[in-house]
Amino acid sequence: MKKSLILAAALLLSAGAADAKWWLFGKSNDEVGLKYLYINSVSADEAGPKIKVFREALGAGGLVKITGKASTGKGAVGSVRISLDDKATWTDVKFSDNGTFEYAFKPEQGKTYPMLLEVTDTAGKTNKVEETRKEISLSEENIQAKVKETLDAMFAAYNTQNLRKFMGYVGEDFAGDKAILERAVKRDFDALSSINLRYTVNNIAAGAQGRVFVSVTYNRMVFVNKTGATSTDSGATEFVFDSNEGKLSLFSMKQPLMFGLSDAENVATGAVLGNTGAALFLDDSGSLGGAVRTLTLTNPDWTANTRTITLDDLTTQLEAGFHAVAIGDIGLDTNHLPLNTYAEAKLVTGKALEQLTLADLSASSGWTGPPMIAGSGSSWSPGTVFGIRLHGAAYYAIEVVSNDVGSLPAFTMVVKVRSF
Amino acid sequence: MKITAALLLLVFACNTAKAQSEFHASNEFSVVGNAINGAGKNASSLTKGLNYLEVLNLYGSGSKGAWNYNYTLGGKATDDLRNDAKKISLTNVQGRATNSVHTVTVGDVFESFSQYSLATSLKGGSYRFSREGTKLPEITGIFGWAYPRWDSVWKDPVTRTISRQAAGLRVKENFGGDLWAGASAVSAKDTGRITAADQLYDAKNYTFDFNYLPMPGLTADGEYSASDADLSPSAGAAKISSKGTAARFELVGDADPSRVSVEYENVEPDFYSALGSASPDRRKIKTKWRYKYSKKVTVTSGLLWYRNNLDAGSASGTTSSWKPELSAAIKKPFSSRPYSFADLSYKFDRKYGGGSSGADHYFNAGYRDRFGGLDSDTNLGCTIYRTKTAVRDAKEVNFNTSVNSRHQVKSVVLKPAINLGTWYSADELANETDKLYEYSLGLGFEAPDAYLASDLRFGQNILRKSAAGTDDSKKFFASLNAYWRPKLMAELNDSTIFLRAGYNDYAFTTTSRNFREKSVTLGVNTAF
Repeated sequence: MKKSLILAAALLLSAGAADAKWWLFGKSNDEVGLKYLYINSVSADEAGPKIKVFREALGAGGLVKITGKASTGKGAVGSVRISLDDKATWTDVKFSDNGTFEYAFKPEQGKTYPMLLEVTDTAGKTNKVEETRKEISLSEENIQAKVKETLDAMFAAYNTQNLRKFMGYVGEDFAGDKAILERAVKRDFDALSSINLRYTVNNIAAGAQGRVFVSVTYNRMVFVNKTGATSTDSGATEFVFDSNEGKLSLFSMKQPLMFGLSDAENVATGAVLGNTGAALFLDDSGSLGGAVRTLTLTNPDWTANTRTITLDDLTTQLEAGFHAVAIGDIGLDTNHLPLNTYAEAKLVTGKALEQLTLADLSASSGWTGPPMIAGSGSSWSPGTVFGIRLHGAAYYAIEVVSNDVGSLPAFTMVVKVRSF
Repeated sequence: MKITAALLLLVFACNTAKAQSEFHASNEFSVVGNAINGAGKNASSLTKGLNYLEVLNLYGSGSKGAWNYNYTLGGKATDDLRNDAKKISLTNVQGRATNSVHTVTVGDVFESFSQYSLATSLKGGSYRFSREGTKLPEITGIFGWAYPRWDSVWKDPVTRTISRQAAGLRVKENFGGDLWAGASAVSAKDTGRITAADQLYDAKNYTFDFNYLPMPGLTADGEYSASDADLSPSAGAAKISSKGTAARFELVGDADPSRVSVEYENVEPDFYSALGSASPDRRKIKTKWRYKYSKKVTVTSGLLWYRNNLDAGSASGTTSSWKPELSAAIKKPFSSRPYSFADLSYKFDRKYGGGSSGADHYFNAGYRDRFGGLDSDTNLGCTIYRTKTAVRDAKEVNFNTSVNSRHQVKSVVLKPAINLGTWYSADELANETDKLYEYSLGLGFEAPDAYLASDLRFGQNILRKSAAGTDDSKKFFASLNAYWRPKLMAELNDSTIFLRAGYNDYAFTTTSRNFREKSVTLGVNTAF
């Protein structure tokens, strides 16, 4: 990695010294113009023609700050002037020897300021003034209203599966990478239908750097096309938005994810504090949650009653005696479910394994901790479903498919295991 | 102690409010009634019965001497546990005072130092020193707790989380306007394990970031962060110490007709940022070129590559991904049609290693136009999923078209709309096909003189599945949203009365899954 950094630094230094302008695509150092221009810390190059500033994002003294650097090629800067009324009046702006300048004004609510900047070199040559035109206004919305408007629009675009519209709310600098999110959302759309998302805001905080933090409580219902099943979940999650031109664009999301469930690992950057497990996610096959895996448990040596299952990787191990399961997370025999430390379990009734959702498990009560759940009958009936909770956060479900009890302790059990 | 601190913040905000010179408030109160019927009603995400939601936000600002201040205060109340686990909760508290040099913020504090160091909100306070026009650096200090909500501060049993105490310091210096550089130190310490299995971190991040403008149109920015973290995986377990680094670097050349960006990122597996944003164990290179070929045609191309398992520690091996893409947007593809717009895109997704091998192709074509008084928007997409590991081999095609128009009859505006869509999936592994048909009709109604606007919409989604044992399904839906601003209320303040009504009827092959949802929300939104 160090080599890469050194290479990047060398490239940058050589770019700064080079005369070649292959990457400038037409801009020349010799032209009279602006090397850069920022309006309240937002680059004018990145901003559109209309810039709306939120009250919460105004600088010290409630001012809009315009900073830039005039460039005049080989000549010297003669003057820098600014107009905030479409060239009707001009104000001289103080500038330093190297051409940097700064100007600030206090915007009034409801007023639009057509801003133009004029740079003149000592020979009287001026920049292309019209290219600097920006319409600046103070947003009448407060940040809470803007957040709600943006989230409503994002949820509506996601619910109606309009990818183009949805991606219009995602910033170029999206921390998980915009290209990854776009493909993940497209896969979400292929996997889900009739998406119904609702939310209320828990917390909003706007920062001076133009970023907005949002925490929401949500609940949603989706149709999974592959299985035809519905699934619901609820919880709390967090977003960070960048504000630019009076518009909010998504900068980052945390687990549990609202969008991009098909590549949650790469889309999310972090998890919400107190998050009680991964919410809905779509696996590589387009199915909801982890793929269902089938395990066959037998006791070939006839001396042990229990096979233990390490749920994270679904490996099974031989274990003698179910009263002290020391390996793996849970044990399973014909009519007992021994539990290891930090594992809890419960019997789930009314739903098959494929119909279960994370919300069904996380919202339910009646969990039993170690040492075990003991069945009342002689053996677990096929169709019996257990919910498993590990470390208070990771959820699994196990369904008994068949349970052939021979001459105990001999048995052959087939179970399906699914992670959430 | 934290409860006292929070109360002090509230007192501060209220005292500030007394001297306000500007004050705004917005309030939304709504009552929702939901009825859910049918044998499968447990699948509904709605809460049965009558519930309310109240959201209040206050904003004030003013000045005193050389100081300007503003504050926000917000709260919500609801008896619908699906809306919030708490009946009454504080949503926002923030007070900020600033003069030309010093800025003090208390309450909800969001100082985004940099992506890797601090990119989340804290409940606490911050101070920033910034003297413009001098060579003195900008200095920001912050202290607080990284709770996602205020209830967690006073350890409400329902929303209680572990405590993550955070502190940070940032120094940023401008060097002649072309270059700025910043250094940040952030610490996060977790305490107050709720369950024995809670993971607690004690982490520190030291970060350097910069932004450099070597010449017009070219921007370079980057960040390097080192983390030093101790993890206590569970009660009584031995601590695990880890150190890691993360680095990103980006060059952007932006001047008409092109915008070119090159990005490199390397986040080591052991890098941990408790308060920033990072995807650990990822090395990424990304390029993007947007080229305005003419006034009508813009072409965008991009290439993203990334891999994991940077320390070769994963038993399952390394997964690499290639994601190239090419798209074109064409204004007026038919010169005789002034409102026509077309876009075409192709995206490729190659992922291999770590037990996976997939090559997915995404094609998309869109066309917008206006025919007489009708605005149309049509989209055709095709996705081909291919895996060598028999995980997902499928062809999926989706088609959507919508037609909208606007008609003014005296002072009334009518906006009829039709949407049609279909989705077809051929699963080659299971040898099954799924088809989804959608249609909806809508009618927007606006009567500006009566301050009335509404939108009526109804339609159906039909999912047809070929696999045995899976259910076909139909969803019929209807919704009405109406907004009315009574003249008197509009004169006094900006108020809107709203009505939202919805009906969903879900029907499945297995009729025991059928259910119907009826939902009516009536509310008033007030702002002044």
